[in-house]
Order: sequence, then C-alpha cells, then structure tokens
Amino acid sequence: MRGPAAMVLLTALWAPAAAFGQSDTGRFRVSINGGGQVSGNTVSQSFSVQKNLEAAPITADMSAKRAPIFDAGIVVRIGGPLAVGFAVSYLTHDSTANVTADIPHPFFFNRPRSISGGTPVSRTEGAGHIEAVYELSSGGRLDVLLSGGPSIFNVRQRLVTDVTYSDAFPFDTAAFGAAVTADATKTVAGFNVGGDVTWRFSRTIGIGGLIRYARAHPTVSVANNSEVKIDVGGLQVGAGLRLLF
Amino acid sequence: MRGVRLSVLAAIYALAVGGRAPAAHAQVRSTAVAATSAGELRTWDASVDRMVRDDQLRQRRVTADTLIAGRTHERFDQYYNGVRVYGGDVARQLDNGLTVSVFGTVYSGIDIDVTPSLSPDDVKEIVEERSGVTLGAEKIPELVVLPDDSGGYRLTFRAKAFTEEEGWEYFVDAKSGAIVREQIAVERQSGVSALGRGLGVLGDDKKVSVTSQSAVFLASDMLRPPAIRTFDMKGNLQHVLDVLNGGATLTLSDVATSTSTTWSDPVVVDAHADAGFVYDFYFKRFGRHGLDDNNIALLMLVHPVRRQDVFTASNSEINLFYLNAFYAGDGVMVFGEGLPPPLVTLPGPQSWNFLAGALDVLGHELTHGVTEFTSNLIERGESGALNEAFSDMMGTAAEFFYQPIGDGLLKADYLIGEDVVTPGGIRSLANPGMFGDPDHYSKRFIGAADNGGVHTNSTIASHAYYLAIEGGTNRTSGLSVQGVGVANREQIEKTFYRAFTQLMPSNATFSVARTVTIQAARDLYGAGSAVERAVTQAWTAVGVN
Repeated sequence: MRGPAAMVLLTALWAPAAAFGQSDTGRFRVSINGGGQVSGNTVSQSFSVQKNLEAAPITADMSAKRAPIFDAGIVVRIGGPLAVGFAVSYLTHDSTANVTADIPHPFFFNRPRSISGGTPVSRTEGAGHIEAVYELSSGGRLDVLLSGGPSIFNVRQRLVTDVTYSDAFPFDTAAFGAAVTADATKTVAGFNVGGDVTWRFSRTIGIGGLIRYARAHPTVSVANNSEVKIDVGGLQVGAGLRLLF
Repeated sequence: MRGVRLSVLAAIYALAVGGRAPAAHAQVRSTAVAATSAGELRTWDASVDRMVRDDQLRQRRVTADTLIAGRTHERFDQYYNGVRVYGGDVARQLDNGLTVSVFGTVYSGIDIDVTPSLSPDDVKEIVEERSGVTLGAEKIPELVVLPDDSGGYRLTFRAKAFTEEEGWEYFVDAKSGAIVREQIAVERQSGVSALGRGLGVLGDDKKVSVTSQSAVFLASDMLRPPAIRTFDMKGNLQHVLDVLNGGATLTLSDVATSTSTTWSDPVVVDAHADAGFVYDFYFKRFGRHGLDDNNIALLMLVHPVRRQDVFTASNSEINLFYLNAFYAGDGVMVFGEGLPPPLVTLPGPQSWNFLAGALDVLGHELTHGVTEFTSNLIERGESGALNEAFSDMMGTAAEFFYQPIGDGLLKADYLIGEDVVTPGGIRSLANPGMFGDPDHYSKRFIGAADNGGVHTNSTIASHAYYLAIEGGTNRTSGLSVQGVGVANREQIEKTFYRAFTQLMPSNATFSVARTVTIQAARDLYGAGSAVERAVTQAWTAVGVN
C-alpha cells in the first residue's frame, strides 16, 4: 500500500493549457506524475555454460508485469492547439527469476543432474519521450491533450550468467546454490502515444491523469549468454500535479 | 594361449614340488565350521568366545553390515602360541549382539615348537635367492603355522616376491630354511591381456577424474573418497618389479600425465576411469568404501612393458605382463599390454587389446582386493576357485551396472574379458564349456596347475551365480533352476557379496560356499524366499551339495 500512496504524493503534473479555457492558460505546462507501468514484459533466458566437460543448459525466467513509475514532462505551446513536449519516465522493478539447470555428472557423459532455484533480479528503465501534442480544449476547467512521438529507452536488466551448485560423492544429485548474475544495459529507440487530462483549480495549478503507451524491443547480452530480446516500456498510467505558466 | 599358459604353470609347479621340504610334525585336523542352527550356534558361539579368551583366536576386523541394519561381522584369525595359523579363521555374524551365523575353518592338533631358528632376514635371503629379486626393507616375512599338504603342521615364514615371470608366495620352514610351499601370489585375470578423457581402448569417450598441478594434469582422482592413481610405468619392467617387491616406491614421476584435458593414452583413460567406476559400483550397490571398506588407495599400473618388446619377451613375461592383469595386493593392480596387431593367440585365434580396456577385467581384479580384505580366500584349490569366481561375478555385475545388456563390445554379458580378448573373451559364466571350463562339480579340474585349477574351476561357482539370476538348465546335470530374473539381479549380487565378504572363511570349499550363500540369502530375503530357492537350486544344479 505504501507504493500507491507514494505514487499519489509524487503525482506529476502536466502543463494544463487554459486555466479557464485555452486562451487563459500559459504557454508552458509542467506535469509531475506518479503511477505504474503495466506490461507483460517477461525475460526468458536459455543458454549453456561448460561444466564438467559438457554443456550445462541453463534457463532463467523472470517477469515484470507491474512496476511503479515516476514521470515528469513539459509541454510548450507553439501555436493554436499544437505543442511539443518532452517527458522523462523512470521505473525500477525487482523480481525473482526462476532458474533451472542441468549439471553434467563429473564421471559420466549424458547423465545430467537437474537443479532449480530462484534469484533476485532487477530492471531499471529510463526513457525520454519526445511528443507532438494536440490540445483538445474543453472550454472549462478540463484540458485534454493527445500526444505521440519517439522515445529513447535506456534499460538496465539483470541477467543470469551462471549457476553455482553443491554436490558430493557419488555425485548423482546436485543442489542449487545460487545464480550468478550480471547487469546488461542497452539504449534503444522506441515510440510513445498517449493522452493527458487536467482539471484546473486555478489558472496555474491543477491535477491530472496520464496514460501513455511506450515501447521498444532491445536485445541485450552479458557474458556467457546468447543475446536476449526483451520488451521495455508498456502501458504507463499516472496522476499528479499540473503547473501552468 | 591358454594352453601355453597352463603348460608354463605346470612346469613351474613341477619345480615347486621338487623343492619340497621334509615331512611335517603333526597330523593336520581341520574343522569346517558352518553353524546356522540354534544348537550349532550355541556351541560355536561359546567355542569362539573361549578361543578368544585363550588367545587361540584374535579379532582381525569388525565391520558393520551395510546391507542389514544392526548386523555386524567379526573376523578372527586362528593363532597357535602367538603365531597365526595360515588358513585358520572364523567369521561370526551378529544381529544386535546375538549370533546369527559362524563360518570358518579351525585347525586342531597343532603341537609344534614356535620358536624359529631363522630370522626374518635369513628368510628374505632365501626368498631373494630363490626368486632372484631383492626385497625391500618393508617386505618382512610373516611367521605362520602352515597346515601342510603332506598332513602336518610346519612353522614357516611367508613372503611374497615378484619376478618378471610371476608373483610368488613362498613358505619357508622356519627351522630348516627349506621352501615348503611355493604358490602363485598374484590373483590375476587368467589369460587376459592388458588393458588401457579421452577415448578409451575401444574408442568410447570417457571422463577421467584427475588432478591439475603446475599446468600438468595427473591421473590422480581427487573426487572420490579414496586416492585413485594411475601410473604409467613406461615399459620399465624392472621398475615395476622393484615396486611390487618393495625395492622402490611409486613416485609422482610415475603418475600418468597429460598436458591438456584431453588424454591421449586410451590405456590410462580406461584404467583410471574404470577403477573409479568399480569403486562407485561397490559403494552404490553394497555401501562398501573401497577394497578394505576404509578407502584404501587404488594404484593402477599400466604399461608395465612395451608392446613392441613382445617379440623378444619370454613366454612367462608374455603371460604375466602382456596377456594378463593381476592384483598384486595392497590396492595395487597391474594391467598388461596385450599384443600388437596382427599377433593373435591360438586356439582361437584371439586378438588381445590392452587389458585395461575391459570393465569386467577391472572389476575382477579390484574384487581380488575386496577378497584380500574380507574372506581372504586362499588362492589355491577350491578356495582359490571361489576367489576367482567371486571376482568374475563382481566383474560381471559391474558390467551390468554400467553397460546396456547385449552382445558385442561395451555390452553387459556373462563373458569375461570379451571386450579386449576378441572374439569371445576367456571365460563364460553362462556356458563355461565354451572355453572348456567345468559347469559342474563332477567336471572339476583336479590337477596341480594353476594353483589347482583356480581359474578353471571358478566357473562351477560362477555358473551357479549365473543360474541363480537367469535361471535355466545345467548342461551336465540337466537340473533346472528358477532364477530370480534379470530385473532382480541385484538380489543375487547382494547375496553373493554378503556371503563372500562377510561369511566366507578363507579356506572355504564349494560346499561351504553353498552353505554361506544360502545363509546370506536367508539373512537378506528370508527363509523360503525366491532368492534362497534360486541359490539353492543353482548350487544343486552345478553339483555342489
């Protein structure tokens, strides 16, 4: 519960256009939002390392279905209902990767011993969203903005690179010890589309809600791994403060 | 080659007999103990306790039963006035302190002076002169009372010496210095030639557990509980003999090495890997920790000679170091080189690959080590045949433990040495007659050669083992056996293992072997069990009652 509360408190703004109609608002609109990213992002790793003279296949599966997100942006009106904006979003997500491996027997070929366990993994996504904005004037206290454009994502994904295990004579079984992990980083271009709704209390301040879909598909890799294609971004929903000047 | 070998052995025996010493001093009276009924047990339990109090029996070893919880096995050596009586021993099985069985051989009527006229050093000189080898300082002859073949008891020193031709066990009269018995000491894979990551002798890809040291890999297993080391003797037979006779020790420079993880010598690969497999088999199947159940080191000696030297080697050298593998005692195994193609032996013809290339051969030899530390079956006559039979049984059991059942190379079957002596191997547990070996007690070899036909007659017992598993009809007696079936082979393996390691006395006969294996079947699977029935029928079918 602490997360959502914090999100509300951190709610970011967007720059509402007219406080009481489009012509009444300033040129700049700043938004600060807190919210969450909903996505079906999963990372599935499948690779092998050499152990006991044979390939030891390792799989690791992790998912990042929800994550709290912080978002801030500015929109500059350039004429009429058109504006340009730039927003940044940031999220970090911790989860557990389910790791399985087949560890080759030290004395025999083709007699693997299966082990499995979990390991904490994390992902951080920082994104910059360049937006072309179209303002739908409500003529009242309510502003509605539509936006879209390119995004630049920088993702840091923790991946499994190896496993440790324990065994003892006669070595017919093995026990999962830990997963060895490393961070993979990647900067990649994507896109965003979204909308913003602002309710103005006065000419300069209001509250609003944000909905954005931003997406990119980078390929990341770390030592021992073949490349892993991952999804970044997702459906971002937030609410927060709007400052207009 | 078998014929050649036997003739050589016969000649050596003639020599040995020619060197016999004067008559013995008292009449040998031995009592074979096989107590399993309540009355017998009371009597023999009390007798054993009394003999222990009187220092006529000394406890050699107490081992926990790895197959039945709560059971322990005591082994006693018989002593006369402080001197061990060779072949006199008793094995007592206890269930939480209550005696379950007593087996053994106890000698009575011993009345000899046990003060030797000769010193151990005097005896070493006699043995050195006889064998032509120099014995090391650690090779101290043991004073024993020997129940002599001529019917009396002698105070003798017992010593072993290894020559290029053979490993010999000498019994030297402690008064006169006469050699009263000279018998082959090596418990060997009769007629089987030598064996050898990398690819094994048959091209099978294997892992070997080794040690990395200063950018060199040593054939020294660090993963298993015992030290398992494979030594490349580089064809230096004299060095081999010095090692076996205590005149030299194995050093790091003798250990087989490789500069990469891929080992190029298939003989080293097989000897080293298979030794580990056999250790593992004993551990997994029987809970046994190596030859002595205390993880004694396994020392594998390969390339005792060079293959190319076969053309100048003597027949006896060829028999021992080319066409053979043997257990030399104290955890040391020696594997012969086989013959360079296209040389073959007759009848056959049979080709001889490196003897280390056959898992059953390794299992056979290492089992001699197990026997050394358990029943210590004397390598002579029926006890010797049982010793060889048990090695064949366990060698075969190891094959079935690791290899798929079938015919051909690297398949589990009831042939011995078939992977390296091709075609066919050297013995068959399923059909001993294929090699002229007896499948029935009535056909046993009764000559003196081969320590009394220990290899030949082994098939009487090992065929019983086969019948107890597979069932079938004995070709000689026509009697049928209802075996436990292939799926239950483990029951028979455990029965015979138990009998041969826990219950069997060192001087056992086939008849005693029958009794102790039936007892072992009862211990493990209950009286009237299918296992007991199979074992009983099997011994009856091979004419052992």
